[in-house]
Amino acid sequence: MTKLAMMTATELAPLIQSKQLSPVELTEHILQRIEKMDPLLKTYITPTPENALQQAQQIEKEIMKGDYKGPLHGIPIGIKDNYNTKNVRTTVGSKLFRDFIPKENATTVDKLLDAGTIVLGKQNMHEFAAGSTGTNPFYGTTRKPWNIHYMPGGSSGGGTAALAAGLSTLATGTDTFGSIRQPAAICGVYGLKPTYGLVSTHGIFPTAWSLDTAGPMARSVSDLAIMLDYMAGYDSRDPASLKITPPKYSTNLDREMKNLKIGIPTYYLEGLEADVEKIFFLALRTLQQLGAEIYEINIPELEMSTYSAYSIVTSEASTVHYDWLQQYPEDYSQDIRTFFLSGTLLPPSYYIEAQQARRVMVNALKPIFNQVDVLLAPTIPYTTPAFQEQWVTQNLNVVKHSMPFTSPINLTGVPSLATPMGRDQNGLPVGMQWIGSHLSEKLLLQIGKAWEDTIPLHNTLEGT
Amino acid sequence: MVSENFIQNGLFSQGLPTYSNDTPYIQDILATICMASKSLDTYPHINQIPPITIVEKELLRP
Repeated sequence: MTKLAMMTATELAPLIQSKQLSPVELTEHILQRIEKMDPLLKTYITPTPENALQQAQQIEKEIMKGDYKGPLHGIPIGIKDNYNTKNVRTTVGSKLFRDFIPKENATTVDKLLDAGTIVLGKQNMHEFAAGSTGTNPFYGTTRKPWNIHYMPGGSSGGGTAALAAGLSTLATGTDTFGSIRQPAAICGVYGLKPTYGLVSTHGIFPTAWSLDTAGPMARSVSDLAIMLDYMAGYDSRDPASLKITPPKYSTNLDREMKNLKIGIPTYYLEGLEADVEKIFFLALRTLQQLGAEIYEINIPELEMSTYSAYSIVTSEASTVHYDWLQQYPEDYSQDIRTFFLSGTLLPPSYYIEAQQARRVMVNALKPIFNQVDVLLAPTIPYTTPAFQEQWVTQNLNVVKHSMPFTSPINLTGVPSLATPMGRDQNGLPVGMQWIGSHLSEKLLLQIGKAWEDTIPLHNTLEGT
Repeated sequence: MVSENFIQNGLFSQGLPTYSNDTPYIQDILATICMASKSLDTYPHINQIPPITIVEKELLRP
């Protein structure tokens, strides 16, 4: 039965459509696993088993009547706890929002419900989506299913850990400076940070408005594509929403690596841990064997990423939280409080300069995609750390080490697909990110699917 | 390194919390930003470039 919990939506959908698999049976199975495993893994803050079963029963009736909506109909999903869910508590991973019950859904939640997904509950996250270890002193710390002594990453670590443990089939994430891609890399699953403005962020609690994106997380690339089919699109309630008609992402996903021009920014080759470097070069060798052409690319402007990202995230986040920091400072955990307070001490010129640097970085990146089809880089430069007792220090250090690798994507607004690339000496997943030009999600998903077919989690360091 | 006094006074003057055990963490974050700001030295004319800001053209229409 574990097999059922680990199947992808792409595999489950035809079984549900042909009535060989009952959505109620599937939902009950995953809910039983949540009940059994989640007291240890803490991937959910608020599971909603009763709602999920009611929804599954309703959906089963619809399907039995022949009213099949499409590939997400009857598929269980977890929703990150910073997406508003009508009548269901939405804590944003914080003590401050422990009793907040939204009156309406985030746009994306409505879209996924309209598609027929079954919501299993609200998934755990690093407080206010502003940390990267998955440590949560208020609702319990999420643990990495591969080894519970190691961190799952964050801030969408509840979702990626649930995917890795078979506690949800799909999950939603948000990514302001890596919160989809870093935990996807650590948990060995797939995550897409879309082009800024492609997926509505209306009804999602802001971390830093000018960088926030929402996106899908799953156990396969084709599942990400199906989710994006439903999540993408213009929303007049989101000021940053792009007025475009997105393509159908889930069709024609097959393509070969042959003749694909892949750029490796030299910026991303600095400061890699030995295991990450070895696995990355093994991956490049595999890609060359498949016919891809690899080019080293120099983009020195990316060196401004750390400065820009820190200045923007802390400034914008401290603006969101200013009044609450004055009134309820004890309701913040220390890592997040100090991160936000730092933003109140920066001169305004830092913020403006950071936004000027962004323009320089965007202008530097755009012409690169005339030379190569995609860029490729390790998602993060380190292998998964074990939990440390000094969790405040650990989170701030993990953020510091992740930021140079994850934030260039948010700062330039381009899409990035996080895929596994292999396993380190401890047998734990290591990931890489495919970076494309603005609105190149379809290409990234096609390439990601070809890479997934190589079964990257089988890449180990044995024999190297 | 940003001084403890600067941090404590800066927070106090804004009515923000001044926990003494927060100070080393804030110092570390501000030091990271200060160190990273050196990357801008390569681009001396950056202050003449318009910043990226969210300006909604729709909102500004009559």
